[in-house]
Amino acid sequence: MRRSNLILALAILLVLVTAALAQESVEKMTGKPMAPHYTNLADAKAASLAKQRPLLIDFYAVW
Amino acid sequence: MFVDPKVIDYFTNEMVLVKIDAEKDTVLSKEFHIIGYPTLVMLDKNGKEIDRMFYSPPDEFLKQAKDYMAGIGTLDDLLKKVAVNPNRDTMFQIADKYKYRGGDADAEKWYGKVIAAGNPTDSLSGESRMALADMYRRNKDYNKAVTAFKAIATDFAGKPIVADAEYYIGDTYRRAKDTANAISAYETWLQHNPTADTSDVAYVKKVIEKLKNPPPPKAEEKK
Repeated sequence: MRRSNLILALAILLVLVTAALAQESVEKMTGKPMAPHYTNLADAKAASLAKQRPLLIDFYAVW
Repeated sequence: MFVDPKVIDYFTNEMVLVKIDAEKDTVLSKEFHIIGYPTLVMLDKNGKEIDRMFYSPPDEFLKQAKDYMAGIGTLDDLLKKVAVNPNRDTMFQIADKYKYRGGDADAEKWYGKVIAAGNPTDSLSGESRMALADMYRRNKDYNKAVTAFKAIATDFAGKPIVADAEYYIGDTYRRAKDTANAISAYETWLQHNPTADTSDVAYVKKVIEKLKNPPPPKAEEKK
């Protein structure tokens, strides 16, 4: 039982690491930003107000 | 740009960044009058637009962002400057800023001031007139746009700006679905610009070919 749990945990970890690496490589290949960002304007506006910082909206399109 | 460590550091400590897929979020795109991608809109903490930025090398981008945050070179700043010193270059910058944020009436007013304050056929007037004609074209006021581009082609005869004006006459007719006039205008462009960039010539020839021989409409897929 403990061994199967360990295998499951390793499998999940592997999936997460692979996903993160894949995202990073996609970002590098496509020039997509790696800077911290929101994907929802309402959340970003709330953060901007809370942190008292200006907000930059990057309108992009996927071709 | 956003992968540069200095830029990442800047967004981590000084600004908040949000990425919006403009093709998916068409409501927001319309609200912010987005006419091309990518467009970067800077808002203050209260949601008021400060200015718009363009992708540029990291150092240039950071300098512009910092200037805007300090109120340097923004629309408000330029309006204050022009009130003290009515400089045509500043007027032109103001007009451009209004144009890109969708303030067409203000843009038209300021381009008009640029033209009125100088010679109507000097280069800044030419750029202003092209910008106005382009606004009409984007707003689908095709007759007005064609008239404006044709006037530029006449008034600036012999100058490089004519090539752009003549190209856009064809483009405007094509958008207006006036195929015969579009073909004629593009062919005029080819005649007048035999030494143009080969890729531009190839593109115009391809457009003419498509207008003359439009692809057959796609057959409906069988269910």
